[in-house]
Amino acid sequence: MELFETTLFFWLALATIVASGAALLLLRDRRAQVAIIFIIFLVSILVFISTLPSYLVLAKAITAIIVALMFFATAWQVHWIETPELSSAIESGTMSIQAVNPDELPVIEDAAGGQTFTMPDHARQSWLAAPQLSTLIFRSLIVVFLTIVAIRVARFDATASMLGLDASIMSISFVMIALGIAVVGLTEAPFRAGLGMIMLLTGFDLVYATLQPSLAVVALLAVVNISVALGSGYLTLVRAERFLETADF
Amino acid sequence: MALNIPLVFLFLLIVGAIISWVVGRWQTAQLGVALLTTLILLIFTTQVPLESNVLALGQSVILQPVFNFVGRSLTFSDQVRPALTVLFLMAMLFFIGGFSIQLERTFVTGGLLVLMLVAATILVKPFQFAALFLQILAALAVFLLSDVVHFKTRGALRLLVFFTIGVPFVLLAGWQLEGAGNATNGVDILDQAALLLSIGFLILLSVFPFHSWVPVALEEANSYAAAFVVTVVNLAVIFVLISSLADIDWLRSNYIFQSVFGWGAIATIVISGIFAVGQRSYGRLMGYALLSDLGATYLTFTLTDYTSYQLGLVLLIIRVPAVVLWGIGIGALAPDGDDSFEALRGLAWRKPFSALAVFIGGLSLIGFPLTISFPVRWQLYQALIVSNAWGAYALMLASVCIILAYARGARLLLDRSALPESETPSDSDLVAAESPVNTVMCIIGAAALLIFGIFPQFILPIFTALAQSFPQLVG
Repeated sequence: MELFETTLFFWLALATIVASGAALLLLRDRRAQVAIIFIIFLVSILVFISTLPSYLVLAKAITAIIVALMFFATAWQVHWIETPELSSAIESGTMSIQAVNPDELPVIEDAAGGQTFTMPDHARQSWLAAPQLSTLIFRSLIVVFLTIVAIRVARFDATASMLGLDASIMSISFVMIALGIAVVGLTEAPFRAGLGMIMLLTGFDLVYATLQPSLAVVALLAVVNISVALGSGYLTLVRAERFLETADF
Repeated sequence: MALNIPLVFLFLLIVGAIISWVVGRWQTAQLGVALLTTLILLIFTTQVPLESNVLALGQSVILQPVFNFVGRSLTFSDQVRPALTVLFLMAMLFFIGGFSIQLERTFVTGGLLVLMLVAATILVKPFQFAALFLQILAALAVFLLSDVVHFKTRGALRLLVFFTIGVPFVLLAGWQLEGAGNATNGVDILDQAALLLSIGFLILLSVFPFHSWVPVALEEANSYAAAFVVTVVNLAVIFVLISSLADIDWLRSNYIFQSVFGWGAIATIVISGIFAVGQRSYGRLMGYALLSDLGATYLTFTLTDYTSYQLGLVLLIIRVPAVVLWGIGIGALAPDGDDSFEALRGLAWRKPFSALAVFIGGLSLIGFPLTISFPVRWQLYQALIVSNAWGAYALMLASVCIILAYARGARLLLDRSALPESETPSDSDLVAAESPVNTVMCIIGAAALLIFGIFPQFILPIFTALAQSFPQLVG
């Protein structure tokens, strides 16, 4: 049975992608972000199983694992902390930062209130910085709006006649592209932007690999994915290194 | 024995990059390796015969111009010779300029790898696969734009993001063009492909509103490295555009391509001018000046006669010496990276030749009278006023705005009162703060831009001949 032809799988896949995109936009915890990229790759591989020959799916899977591991390694290198946003939060006092395990942690001060907070020695702090309610609402609305628009565009007759693909594949692809663009558009943190770019590229890949199912294209797209992960990982390390120096922890 | 020409390019550039990394502790050695590599490749590009046997080291060597990989190819032909020649000449200028300023270790190694990807972009067939190399090129360029010293990452990240968004459009357009021949609704498909291709190139060519990475990169990164990246990345994309124009002849006259590109170019020029006038750092100002010049180049691609295309190519080539001179000057004026007008206040009295280089380079870029770009800009104005008057007015407006910004910068740079009395230099130690190499390069560079601006008949025919040697645009 073609897995992707079942309606249930389509809706499950779509819901997973939307939830993943929303989580990427809302969560600051890099452990969650890395987990999300694994999930996005898993869904895309399941879609590829229905559209590509098995040797190409295998190539895609290997690429996905490499890319996800690169993000994992980057996050691990910077101690899982989302430095640029956390540093701006500390400077502006726009986020609430709470201590969990004060006994183990060095101390810094919040610039807004002058109140003392504690930071972990391994800097496991990002998940403690919760976004404001207005940010939460704004980003949730963006996810809903973009999902609706992407699904609608995927089901236009013009789109179908242009690409000639199954509407379900195009829906998932377009939602991934739209949410990927939203992620890269709403952050200046290289790590999260890198995840957004990978989401965008994976969404595009769902359509393009089906249109051009050749080993050369798959190989070049794999190199593209890896280079994007490498570039954003490098930028993450550069920023984190500087921030860790200036924050003195 | 067989020698694959495309592989020679890639192999030599990789070897050059590895050697330059190994000798990374000595910047002069690094630059020497890079210069030698690009010189060898320049000679190879211009001299290597196609599909023939040559005698090397007592052996007969068969030169193969095509390297095939899983259904795609890297092809060396007479069509790509001019592009590779321009690329290596440009790279040599940047590497020569690098001798006079302090650079990061990654610049030379990363620069050679970037050149390898641009070469692959030029050599790959069909053209849409060049877009994938462009994406990899953007990812590699971030290593030149950010490092621990220049830790701000906005410019590099935006470059990566814009290319990630732009490349899919070119790939999709390429796929559509491949299938257009067999389709019943061929005209519709061609229009769709033209639209996708136009959007893709607008993004990749940093046309407004996808321009923001350029000024930010020039402000945040090492100015010289950023100038190199902006120039090379733009050159690579323009070569892909030229290649696509050669493959898709109807695209030049397609109304969608014409209007999207024409208005995009004008918007870029106008926005660059408006933003430039308020800038307070030389890096950002250079970013907007570069964008304005890029917009001028793009305008030539919307004109349908072939002479205009060649004019655009001459603009592309003539920009490089101006950018290099500016980079040498700003690298010496602001070695710590802070190139704001305020930080450099009064510095013209301590580093006069570097200051001169910044102004001559910057003004040459926008076609200021008596500089090398002026005759070319003048021809462009003449062509535009006939066929696209709005373009000519926009370009003039932007140039005036940029000149005003430079004038404000000059006032601060020449502000002698900013120097403490004890540091006010006498005439005898005016040049003491500048290294001899830097001084010589600034003088030679500024003199060349001015002399060839006053007597363009000595240099313009060479650039024009180089532009005319692009067989894709001869028509």
